[in-house]
Parts: sequence; C-alpha cells; structure tokens
Amino acid sequence: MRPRNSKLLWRLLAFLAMFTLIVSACGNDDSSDDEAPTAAPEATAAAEPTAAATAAPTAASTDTPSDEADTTPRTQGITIGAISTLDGPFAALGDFSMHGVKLALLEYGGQLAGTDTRDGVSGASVAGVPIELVIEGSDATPDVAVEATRKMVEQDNADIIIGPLSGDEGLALKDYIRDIPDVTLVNGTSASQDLTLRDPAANVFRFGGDGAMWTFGVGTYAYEELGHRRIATIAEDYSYPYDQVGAVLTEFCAAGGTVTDRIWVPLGTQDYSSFVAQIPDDVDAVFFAMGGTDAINFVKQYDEFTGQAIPLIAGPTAVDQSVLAELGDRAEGLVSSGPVVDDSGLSEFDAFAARLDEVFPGQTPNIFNIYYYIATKSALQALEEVGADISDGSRAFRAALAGQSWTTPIGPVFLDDKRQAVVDMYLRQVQDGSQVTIRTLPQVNATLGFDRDDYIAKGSFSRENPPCG
Amino acid sequence: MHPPTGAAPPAGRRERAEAASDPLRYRLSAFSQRPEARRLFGAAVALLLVYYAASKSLEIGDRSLLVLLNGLTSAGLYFLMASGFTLVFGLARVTNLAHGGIYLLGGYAALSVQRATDNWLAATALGALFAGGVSVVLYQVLRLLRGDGLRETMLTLGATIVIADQVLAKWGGIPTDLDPPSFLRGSIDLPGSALLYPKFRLAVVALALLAGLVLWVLLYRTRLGMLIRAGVDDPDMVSILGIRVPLVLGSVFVLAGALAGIAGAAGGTYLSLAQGEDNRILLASLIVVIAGGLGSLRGAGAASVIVGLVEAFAQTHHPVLSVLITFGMLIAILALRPHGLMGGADHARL
Repeated sequence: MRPRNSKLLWRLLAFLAMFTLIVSACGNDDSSDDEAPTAAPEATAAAEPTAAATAAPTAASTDTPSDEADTTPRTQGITIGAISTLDGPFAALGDFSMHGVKLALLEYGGQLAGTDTRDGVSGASVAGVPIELVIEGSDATPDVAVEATRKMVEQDNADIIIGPLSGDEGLALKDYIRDIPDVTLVNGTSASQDLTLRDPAANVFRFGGDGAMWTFGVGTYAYEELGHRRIATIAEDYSYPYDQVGAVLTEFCAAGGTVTDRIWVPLGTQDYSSFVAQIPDDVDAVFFAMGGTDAINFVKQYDEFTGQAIPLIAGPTAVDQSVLAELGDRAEGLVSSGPVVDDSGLSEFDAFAARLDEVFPGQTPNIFNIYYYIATKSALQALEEVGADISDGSRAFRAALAGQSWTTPIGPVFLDDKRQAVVDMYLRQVQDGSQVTIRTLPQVNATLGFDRDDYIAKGSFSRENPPCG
Repeated sequence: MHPPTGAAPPAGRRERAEAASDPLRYRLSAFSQRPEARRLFGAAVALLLVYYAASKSLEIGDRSLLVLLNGLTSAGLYFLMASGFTLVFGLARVTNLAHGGIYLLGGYAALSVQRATDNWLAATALGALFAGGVSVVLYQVLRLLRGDGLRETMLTLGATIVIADQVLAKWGGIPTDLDPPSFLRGSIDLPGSALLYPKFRLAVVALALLAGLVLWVLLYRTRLGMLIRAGVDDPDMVSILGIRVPLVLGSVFVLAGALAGIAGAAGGTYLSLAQGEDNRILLASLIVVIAGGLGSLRGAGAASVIVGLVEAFAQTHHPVLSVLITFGMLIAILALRPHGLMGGADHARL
C-alpha cells in the first residue's frame, strides 16, 4: 500500500552506519604507526570553521596563536582547564580523575564549589595569584577531546590543560596544543607511547608512565620466576593494548620465551566466548590487556569457560583498583605490573588515601585519581616556583615544570629531556581485593631501559611488532 | 491519456538494442530475471560457504561445538531484542532507536531488585515490567508526533541519550553485572573437549525459544494477535473497522519494552551492564532486524540465528575481520533480497 519501507530502510541504514562509528569510536585508529598523529590535524582543520565562527573574530585563530593572545582580554589570575571522559563508557573514570585534580587544588587554599563532578574549585591561589578551574568532558573520542580543549583555550583562556584520559585523545591533543605555544598540556592518564616518545611537542608534559612502562617487568617475571615458556596474548585491537602486549613480549621473548597466538578482539565486543575458544590448550599462561567493561566481561567469561585452567597474567589497567571490586574473587591471585599498589607503605600514599576519603567519602586511590593529582600538583608547584608569573609566554613556568622532582603518592618522579617521567613501577598481585607488591621496579624510563635509538628504531608496537619466535 | 503508438519499439527490438549498447548489463539483468539461474547461483554460493565453514570447523575439531553454542547464545539475546523492535516497527512504523536504552534500563532495574531481594527471577520480571512501563511512556510521547517518521526517530534517539545519562546518575558509570540464579551458576562439561560451557548461556537460548513460542501463541492464537497482524497488514482499514488502534499499539510497545527488559537482565547477567552497552546491543539488533526484514518476526528469528552464527564463526576464524564479515553478510543479504530475508516491498510477512 505505502512504499515507505524502502525509504525507511535507507534511513535506518544511515543510523546503523552512525552507530557503528559511535561504538567503534573509543579506539578509532587501527594502527599505532604515524597514522594517528597525521590524521588528527586534518580532523581539527575540518572542524575549524564552526569553532572559529563561535569563538573568535579572526578565522585562523589556531594558525596565529600569538595574535589571539594579544587580542583576547586576559582574565585576572591563571586558568587551569581539566579534561577527562565525563560521558560514555569511561564516565566513571572521568569522575575519578576530577577527584585528583580537585584534591591538588584544595592543597592551595581552594574549596569545593559543589558536589557534582563538573563543579569546580573556588578560592585557590598560588603566590597570591588566584587559580581558576574549568572542567570539560569528552566521551573518549579524539575529536570531542580536541573540541572540548579548544573551547577551554579559546573561550575560557585556559593557560594549563590537565588531561586527557585515553591514549588516542592524548595524541590528538598533542597535535592541537603543539601549535599554541602559550598553553601547556600536562597529561592525565593518556598512555600512548608517542605522546612523548616519537615526535614530542615542547609544551606537552607527562608525569606518569605510558602503556609499555606500566607493563614493564611482568614479561621477565613470567619467564624467570613463574617458569612460563609459551604464552598466548589476548587484547583489544587498538594502540594502547598493542603497547602493553608489545612490552610483555619484548621482555618475554628476549628471555627466551615464545608466543603461540596473539588474539586481537575488535572494540565493541561484549561476548568473548569465541575468542576464549581460540586460546590453545598447551600454553603456560595467557596475558590479557583490556580496560573497564571489557576486562570484567573477559575475566568472567574466561573463568566460566575454562575455570582458569591456564593462569592469567593481567595488563596494568585490567586489574586497576577502579575495576578490582567488580572483578571480585575472579581477580584473586592475578599477577601484573602497574603504577599503583595499596601496600607501598609510602607516607605520601597513605596521606593521599586518607585525604581522598575525607573529601570524597568512600573513594579509594586508583590510577586515575592519582595521576590527575600528580599532574595538577606538579603544575601548581612549578607555578609557585615562578611566582605564578606566566607573562613570558610560560617559558619560565615550563622550565620549572621540566625540573619538577618530588615524591608522589606512588613514588619519586622526575622528567627526562623529552618531558616524559621516569617513575617507579610495581610488580604486584591481587590479594583479598587489593594490589600487593611483589617487588618494586625503580626508575622505569620510556625506553624500558633499552638504548633510546635502538628502541625507537624498532618501530611502534603493532599487531605483529615485536616479532617473536 | 493515450500512449502514442509506435513511439516505443517492440519489446524484442528494445532488448536487442540494450544488448548491443551494454552487453554486460544486459546479460546481468537477463540472469537476474531468470529465477532458475538465480537459484542455481545462490545454491552454488551457499554450497561453497558450507564447504568452507565445514573445513574450517574440522580444523579446530571439538571446539566447533563451542562456536556453534556461542553463536546460538548470541542469537538468543539478539532475538529478544530484535523481536520487540521489529514488532513496533511493523505496527507503528516507528524505528525505535531507544530500544537499546530500554535494554539498559531493564538490566539496571533488575540489578537493583536483585540487590534487594537476591532473587534473579523476580529481578528479571520486575526489570521487564519497568522496561515495559518506560516503553509505553515513550509511546505516549511519540503519539504527539504521529506520522512524522523522521521526527519520531530523532525523538527516540534523544530518549537514548536521556536514558543513558539517567542511568549514569542513578547507578554510576562503573561496569557491573547481575549474578545468575543459583541453579544456573557454574558450567557443564562439553562432551569430548576440555572446555566448559556456562549453564546460564544455555538458559539464554531456552529463554529466547520460550519468548518465540509465547509470541507465536500471542500472534496466532489470540484476538490481540489477530488485531496486531491485521494492523501490520493494513492499519487504515483496521482503524476504520472501529478498533482502537492506540490501545493495540500501546500493548505492542509494552510487549517490546518487556522483551528488551528481559534481554537486559539476561545480557546483564552473562555479559555486563555499563555505559555504552545500549549502543552495542542496538547496533547488533539493528543488523538483525534489517537482515531479517523490517517488521517481520519470522525474519528476526531467522536473522538472529544467522547473525549469531556468522559472528561466532568469524570471531573464531578471522577475529580481525569479524566486524567486516558481519556487515558483509548484511550487504549480501540485502543485495539478494533488498527488503531483508522476509520483508516485502509494502509490508513484511509477520
């Protein structure tokens, strides 16, 4: 009667395509090669007209940042813009990160402006100069992160950006912020190696590890202490898990071990049963690198399908304190390396945990609140050293930031000449729902102790890189 | 009024002219118009695919059973989602993109009930009830826009976002899950394999079969079902006959919402509940509904089994390409049957 079905079908197909994009958005570059850094500027360039129309009278605002700084009236004081994932699959992690940012500002005389995540901190000041906090959220996709940061830079006149949370967001923000020399980016938890390792930007700082550093040590431990000789790996199919699997295999294969299968699970998979079925029976252990929901789904299903007959070795974020409670008993005994343990005995850690619980009742330390805290506090300390004077285009501030060396809640930190942190990592095991130290791995650097040029020449980690016998 | 005679060449000559100007296209169209040739071609392709799948399955031996069961489990969940979606579409002509959001709401509602009562069945029942209620509220809002398909679709899309934010505010963003009922906890041994199979996953297949049976009885053995089928065939005529179409529509929305709620509780048990799960499940059920034919319940059933099995097979044998293969299958189905497996040009076969 009414031939509407076909029209609706096309409409529906269009929506289908859109949803595919949404679902696959949080890891939108398939390779960790140089593809992502080059792709991102194109995206920003495409989005430029709309942003420029709303923000500034001059169209080429990002191309001539110095002009913009001259024409826009500067507010009194210094503005810190914090960005994390406040929407989408990582929304809970975004909340954690903002706790860290606010805790650091509270130490400088600030008071919480409200209980909501997006409520800022009022009254904080450094060397008599008021510090304002602006909070923006992304949904873990690079373009949204760039747009949110652009808003903070162009409309809120942010001088320092704290964040972002996820790897691909970090790469996109590096390329955006590189062209705005007055603004400084202090990374939150973005763990992409190439934020600082390859083609670094002068105004990007990272006071924490990357995906490979977080995974340092566990490959050697698996070979030498646990006696594993053959392992299989299973991980999500995008750049951050490539780094984790790459780091494990680099060590494990150098020690003499072999990897039988590298199983890559497309992002957006809920049901891991068909991937679990591919794990061969004759391996000694399985290394898995997943985050958030994926880790919970995988561990539960691996347990149901195999009874954990073959022991698991975990990636750093798969057993982070933020998901440990939901993993429950299934996580007991899992070995991993990572930046945060609950029994380090550091007085800084205990003080942080107590203060966190006091200000945000019920919260416990995890990688997100600690890393955002470290980033914010490092920036505030550097500001203090220069008397909160950034009128020289932040030059003195940046020099002070690069020289930061202090004991964080998770151990001492200092930066190398690429503004990448050298930090302690922990080999750890889950016991009674908390991360217990097996041993401390002191001063892990961006090249995992290998020669810098050799390490970089091996290329970015990918599905097949590193090769292994 | 009167077609000019002699202007158009006789059919035979025109065909020859076409054949001369574009021989490939002519042959293709001649081929596609011959049903026996098309059938032969289809059979050959199907045979090749079966041969390929069988040889691949022999390679992994006893694990093929596992892959088969995985596919059926997914199919069960997809059917629970797609059946409601396709019923609503068939009757109300609304592409309800909030269906994923309702799945999530049903799952989280069940989670709250389970935490309070520690009873999975009660939790699922109440979750389904809640999801059905939300669905009928959505229908009342949609009635304000009766007939404007695009605005209706946009409204449901907006509802998805609102629901996701409400879920975030009420239940938080940390992923979580339901515990299966005690008699379905644990796994059973698969014959001839070292692997286990979780009992609850088998129960999901049974649940989907049960839902299919109930829907069949409802549609073909009750007065309401008769009205629904009549409404799908010819909504104008049904309303002229004095039947209160809004009431029938409302009940279909409740039914679809309840099915999504049950799916949410089941999916929340053997997978997990988290932000973003609504879009994942909506994407999967859209594929099923489009492949099966919009508005066709039988199509949804057939397509959920096909999609589930193809997905499980692709994830096992070609993990990196698995998403492409699933969509490739959708394209192949639409190329052979442009309205889906059981869809029609004007209306679908329920």
